[in-house]
Amino acid sequence: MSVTNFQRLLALFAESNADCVIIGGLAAMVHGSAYVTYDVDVCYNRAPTNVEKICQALATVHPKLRGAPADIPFRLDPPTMLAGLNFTLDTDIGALDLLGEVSPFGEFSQVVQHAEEAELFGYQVRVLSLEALIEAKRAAGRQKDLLVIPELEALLELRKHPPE
Amino acid sequence: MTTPLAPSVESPLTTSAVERAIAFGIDITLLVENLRLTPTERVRRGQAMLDSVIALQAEIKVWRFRQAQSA
Repeated sequence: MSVTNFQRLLALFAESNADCVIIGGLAAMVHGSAYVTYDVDVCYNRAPTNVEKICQALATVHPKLRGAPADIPFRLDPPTMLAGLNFTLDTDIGALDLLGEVSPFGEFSQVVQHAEEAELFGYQVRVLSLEALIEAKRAAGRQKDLLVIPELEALLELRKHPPE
Repeated sequence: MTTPLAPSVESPLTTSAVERAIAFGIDITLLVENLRLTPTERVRRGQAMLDSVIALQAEIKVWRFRQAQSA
């Protein structure tokens, strides 16, 4: 497994012009979280043209199913992506999770309404808002998601009322 | 005699999110520092932390292997 390179993965998506929103731990980091994250999570638009763009971009970094036995055949192509929804991948430049839906919002068209634009490494990218990230973590409900909520809520408050 | 329960993280006694986070064990100074950075600088810092964690995990793996060899 390669160590995740956030800049290269972000650049790959930005340069492909793929419609997606950065979510999860990387979104939290963009908003100021001090927690370490190991992967990049994105919610992607499942329109066939967009799925095609994502597959073309990712082909250059050889995506494989993360944690699956090496002898299981897998090819990330549009039919595969459209037949599935969420993909947990390992690539030459790190771990990547592609999510077709994010609870409690739903699919990309709803998620993007809760996104903000951020400049990262010279690219304009969409990132799930801090408020929405808190909602998503709460909806996910797993222990690891609930543990980060106090920090995210503190960030929200500090952003609204910065210390002097 | 009963012992009063310690206020939980969700306790209404703690009024602000920052206070709740401090009670939860979060170092607020790190957050304040991060908020002074640009989003790119935050991700660069996160990358450096991830690289350090991975390097440390690799060192621990080697150390454990050597310990097992010498046992």
